Amino acid sequence: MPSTTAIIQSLLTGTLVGGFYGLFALGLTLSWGVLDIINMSYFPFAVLSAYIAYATMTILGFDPFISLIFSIPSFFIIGLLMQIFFNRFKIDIFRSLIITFALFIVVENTLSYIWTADVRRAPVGFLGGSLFIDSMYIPIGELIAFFIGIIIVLGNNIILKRTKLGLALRAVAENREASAMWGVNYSRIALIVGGLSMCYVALAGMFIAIFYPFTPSQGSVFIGRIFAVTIFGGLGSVTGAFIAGIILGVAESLAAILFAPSWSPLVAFLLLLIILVVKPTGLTWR
Amino acid sequence: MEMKVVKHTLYTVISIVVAALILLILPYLGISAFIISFLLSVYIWVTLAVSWNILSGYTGYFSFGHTAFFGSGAFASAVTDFYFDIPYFITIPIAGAVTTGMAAGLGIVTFRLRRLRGQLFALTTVVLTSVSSIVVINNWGDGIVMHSVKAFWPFISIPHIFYTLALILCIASISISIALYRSRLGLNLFAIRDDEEAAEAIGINSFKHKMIAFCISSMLVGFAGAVFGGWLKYVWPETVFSLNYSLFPILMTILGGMGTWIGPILGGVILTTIFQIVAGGEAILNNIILGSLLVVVMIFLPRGIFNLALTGYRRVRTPLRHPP
Repeated sequence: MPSTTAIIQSLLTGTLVGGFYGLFALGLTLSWGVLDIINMSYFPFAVLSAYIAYATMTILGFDPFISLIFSIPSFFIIGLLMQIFFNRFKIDIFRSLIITFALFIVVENTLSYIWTADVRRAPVGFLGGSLFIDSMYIPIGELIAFFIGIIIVLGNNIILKRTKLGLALRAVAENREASAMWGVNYSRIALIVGGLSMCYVALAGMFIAIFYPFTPSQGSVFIGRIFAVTIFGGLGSVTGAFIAGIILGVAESLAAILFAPSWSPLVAFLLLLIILVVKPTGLTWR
Repeated sequence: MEMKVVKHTLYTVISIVVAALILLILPYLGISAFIISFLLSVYIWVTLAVSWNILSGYTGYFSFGHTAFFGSGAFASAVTDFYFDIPYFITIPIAGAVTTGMAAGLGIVTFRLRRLRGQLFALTTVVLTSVSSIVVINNWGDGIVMHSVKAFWPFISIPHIFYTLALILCIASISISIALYRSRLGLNLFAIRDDEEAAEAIGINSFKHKMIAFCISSMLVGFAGAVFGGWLKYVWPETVFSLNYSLFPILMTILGGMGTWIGPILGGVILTTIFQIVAGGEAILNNIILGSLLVVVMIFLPRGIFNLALTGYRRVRTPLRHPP
């Protein structure tokens, strides 16, 4: 049985890593909940963002956050283009699954064509270090990701609750046809949400480069966790995704110290199955 | 009418048996080892495509779990062979049992859902794929070298044994697929695909039917994984848990024609031949091309070659009495 300090430490680390999971799940939960598109290609695109951050650090020698200057606008445009494509061919949810799965394979293989399958480890400097406070280690990179996640969740909630755009978004999520009757331009909302989701993917991908050594197929490592978080949080619910991410992070890190770490990926899957049995609608429904 | 149906069934059985016998004696006619191994991969891919069609084509529930079942089948066979010294031929049914168990466990949870059932099912199969591959990589990441298969007859070589196994598996899955297509069970599955609420309203137990289709489908994939693993002899997570085993059966079935029994066979043969032609090139480039092909097929040919041909045929001729 591990000591109390170890358990508190793993609770802390789990919470911070969970914030990162929540951040990653934001794009997916928005496009699934609002647009009815399950976009699996977000995972390799996040890895693409990680490679952009890696290139910024190694070739240009800048801070990884500088890479966001390149990746956020370009990802926004990619998201727009993808959404224009989905709108043009009237892709429903099942065709979107297959098409984005095909895109998943295309993007992942393009990444391994450009950067080869070697494992990369970004020179992250102080971001990889930890603060040592009162016998607890607080990883700096994870702490930053956690606070960025909180800021984004708060910002999103303000937009959703206070602005006209947020009202239109909630209307589309609830009933697309009815909202169209009240004058909501669906394709414009869809473009905004598609682009915004990709921006969150770019942000989460940059943290992959900071936290983990990665390969082009790193995206598939997150599939289980992020889908579990998305479903647990409730589709389209930003706050729910963030809270679910924290719960998953804590459950995983507790499982890693209580049982063998090699089985910890199963935690996400078991959590997903339990949610589906107990409460398939997740924490909050929109 | 009754007589005609019986006759039709008889013709189908006879043609399957004749085709099976011809293919079975093929290796003994002095055909090159290259063709034998090509045909073997055709059988494996057709088995995967047909089994994908049994669940997803017939019931409309999209599965991305073929990679999970294929890899788990191969590893179940390899682990029992290597660590427990069980003869290879007995590990094949064990692999099938393991994957059927996985499918049953997943199905019990996801097929009970009332809302978003198709989407959540598809996603849980994606999650199953990623989780099973990570667990296997964590535990047996260096791969397992299987014991050599002992030939029971002196004159049948090892490649011939695997050729025969793959052929039997392929013929069996095609037969199951046809039998389902023509039976009442299959009819119920199509009803679930077209409108699940309506199907339940007329008294079809959709949970039971979906479970049966999912278990049959994943069992066949488990067998295929075990045969493929035994053929390679060295089972490595990165080869058997490749996402291609999820992608290509989908591509084959949609290209050939989803929901028909002949579609996955057509698509499987066509695409495996294409793989063989482009095999000299780089695997990465091939995957990029095939992924893009799937996007194009999904948009411009969603009903597949066979349905396209059937529509064209019907335009010029009277309707087929028993469309395959």
